[in-house]
Amino acid sequence: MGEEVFIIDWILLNLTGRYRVIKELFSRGFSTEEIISFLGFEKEKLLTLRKKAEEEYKKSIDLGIKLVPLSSDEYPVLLKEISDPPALLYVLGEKVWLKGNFISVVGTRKPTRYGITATRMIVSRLAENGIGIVSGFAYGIDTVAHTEALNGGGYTIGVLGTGVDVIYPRVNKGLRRDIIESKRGCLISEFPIGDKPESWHFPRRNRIISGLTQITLVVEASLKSGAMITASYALEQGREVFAVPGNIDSENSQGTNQLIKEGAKLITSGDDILEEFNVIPKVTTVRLPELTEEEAVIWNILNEPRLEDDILNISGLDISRFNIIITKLELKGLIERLPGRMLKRKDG
Amino acid sequence: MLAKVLSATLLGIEGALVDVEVDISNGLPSFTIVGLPDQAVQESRERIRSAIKNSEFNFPVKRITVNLAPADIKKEGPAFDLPIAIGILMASEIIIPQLDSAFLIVGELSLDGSIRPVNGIISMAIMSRELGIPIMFVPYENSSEAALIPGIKVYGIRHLTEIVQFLNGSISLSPASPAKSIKINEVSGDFSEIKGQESAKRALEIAACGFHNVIMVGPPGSGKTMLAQRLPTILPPLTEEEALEVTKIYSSAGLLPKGGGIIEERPFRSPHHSISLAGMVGGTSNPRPGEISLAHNGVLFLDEFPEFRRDVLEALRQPMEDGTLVISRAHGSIRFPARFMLVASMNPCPCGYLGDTKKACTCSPYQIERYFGKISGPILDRIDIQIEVPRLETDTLIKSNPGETSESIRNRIKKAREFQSYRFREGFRANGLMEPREIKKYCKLVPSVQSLLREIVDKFHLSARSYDKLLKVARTIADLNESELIREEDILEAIQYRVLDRKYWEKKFS
Repeated sequence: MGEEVFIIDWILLNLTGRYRVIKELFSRGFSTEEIISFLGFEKEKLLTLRKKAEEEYKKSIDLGIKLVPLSSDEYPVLLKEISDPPALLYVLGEKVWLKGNFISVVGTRKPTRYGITATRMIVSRLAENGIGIVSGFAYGIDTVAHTEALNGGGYTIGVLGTGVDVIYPRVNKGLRRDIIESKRGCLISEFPIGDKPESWHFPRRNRIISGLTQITLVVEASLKSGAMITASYALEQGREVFAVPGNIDSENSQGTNQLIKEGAKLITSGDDILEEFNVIPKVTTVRLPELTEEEAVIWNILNEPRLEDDILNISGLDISRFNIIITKLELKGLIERLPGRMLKRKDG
Repeated sequence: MLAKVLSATLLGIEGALVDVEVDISNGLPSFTIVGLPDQAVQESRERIRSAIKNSEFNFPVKRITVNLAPADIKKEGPAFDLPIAIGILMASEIIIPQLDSAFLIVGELSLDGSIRPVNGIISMAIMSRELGIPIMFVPYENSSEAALIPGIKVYGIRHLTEIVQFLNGSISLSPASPAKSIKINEVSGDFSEIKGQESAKRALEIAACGFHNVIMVGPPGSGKTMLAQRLPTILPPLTEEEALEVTKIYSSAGLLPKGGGIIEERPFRSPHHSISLAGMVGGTSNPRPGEISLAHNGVLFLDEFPEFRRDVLEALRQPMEDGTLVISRAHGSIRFPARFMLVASMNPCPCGYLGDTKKACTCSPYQIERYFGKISGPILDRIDIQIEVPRLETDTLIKSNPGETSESIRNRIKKAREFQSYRFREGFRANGLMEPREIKKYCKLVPSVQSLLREIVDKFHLSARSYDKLLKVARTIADLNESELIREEDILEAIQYRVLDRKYWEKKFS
């Protein structure tokens, strides 16, 4: 029973949103009751808050949501260090942050093909070598990062800007399920259960993304992107910011190039990051595909992603034969299709 | 005095015999038409009175009753003007027919007695032949159209006096000769005019060979419309029977060009996406053929497919399966033939630029998901070939070889059609129309291919339904290669024409 009262106190504290004060008092050894009385709410206000907290507690049990208060040993260590850690984390899935090293990967919601490829390359390398990925579960780079982490057999944490039970964005429904069912990831949030996606939630949750890890990697971001907000939080929190460079005429790389100019470490591969963790990368053997003569013709033309009609023109094959070879290469897992009848070699 | 004249009306696109009975008796002068006439038929009284008077005949000042039998079908349009006028003149003994065999009359009258053309003449001519009525009098402008039907004598009439004199035996007329063939499509073009887009062209060749429905996905300006418009030029020519069917439909809808003629070109229809349900399938209270019937034996091109109204798209389902459309009305149901090849086109996303090499797509994944969601599964299930048509850069276009001509593609298709013709003796008419039973029977694989097929299903996550479609398309490719069994290559090629199954572009970010 004491445990329950204790956790309800923490829910209540979380609902007040006065994280700085709470952290300050808690680190000085004050109990939850003392902190609550220090916050000096009127009696009535306190009663409504307590009632709400009790409801939250009931809901969390019904929905199987784990609650991790600031006082818990399981509370992420790095997050505890920031000046305004949430008093309580709502968690859906496994508490994977206890299991290994993580880095945060953030970027624009409207990535270019370059951004997607870069994210995939870097994240899959990290996942293979046991580094987990924290990201914001939004469209674009976030989604690619989470997906690739799972595909590579690694851990991943999605930090939400809604209540942890709210499915948002809706298209990521499948990803949400994959993360939870894989037992290799979780979704966390500071917002109460059922909280809707409000625009002010998102910049605020970015401090948790950067706060959870020592390193924040920005893959693609325009100057005004939310990823830049995350990067500045990371700096405030005394963490490191890494960035992937891009073309100087690409809007989506202006933010990352700016970060590099200001001293962010320039990242061109997953190994650059593994270095920081003192992980010796696994040697992946480069397999040389076994190809028939016709397959080799197309494979060689595909040294960069190309439009189907261009490949056809260069190869001189007739269309029927061409399509047959493409399917063969696809079956062998060597090439893949992109929207717009583009073909490219598969990474790795 | 009682007189009886044979005439005809249209039920849907079929001709139906109507007896025009005219009785003239003493009494207060009046002129009544009974037998379910519509407004246009009621008004014919005024036209007939003026036309007779202006042709220097006497309009009887008596009690005139006209009955259109059978009384239970609705009579519409002005085509009864002429038969009623002749009936009146016969009943008042101005005409004493000198012909010894039965004859049928249709035509609209002008106030001065000249005769104007009517719709659906060819259907009425077919009906006369079937009923053994050897002579037809039709408006002059329709005469060559009616003369397309052998076995009946057709006289083209210009003026009321002309037919009166002919029936009385005072002048002679020569029967009309059949019309020549005519074109109906605004653009036909040739495949050689399209540079690049080889995959799309090959896919259309396969589609034309197996009468498979096609959906093309591509950004604006990529040439989807151009490709679709040229599809009729590689479809095998219309058979005589098919040409007659098409002509009947166009004639009854009043869409034949002046002078009429037989349509020997496969129709290409591309209704705008704002079309109503009635416009698409046909209908209103007196049923007319809709776009799907006008596309019978040809191509129905639906540009911006997801923008069509949901009910309009859903209404395509039944005709896509049966090749006919049945419209039920209080007075019975009417069948319209509607065996068309559906060619749909859509953008890859609402803004149109997903996957474009130059312009960035501004749609969110949710918007894209919703856009694709507008096409219902059952409709998509009836589309065998799904291809992507990208916008090509000038650079690519310059390097591309000039395309093959429609004629050489068509020759390949003709050969393949001959190869597959034995299959169609049992009722269904193309590979695209195969049902699971027939797929089992005709889509036999070279034994060694079975394991490859399993690999493909796993790799590309095909559902049972898409598996069947893959087999159908592979069957047609095998036909083009004149192979009795489906070979490895046929399957490998076919999978490239099933892009929607693979959904690689819907996963924009993964």
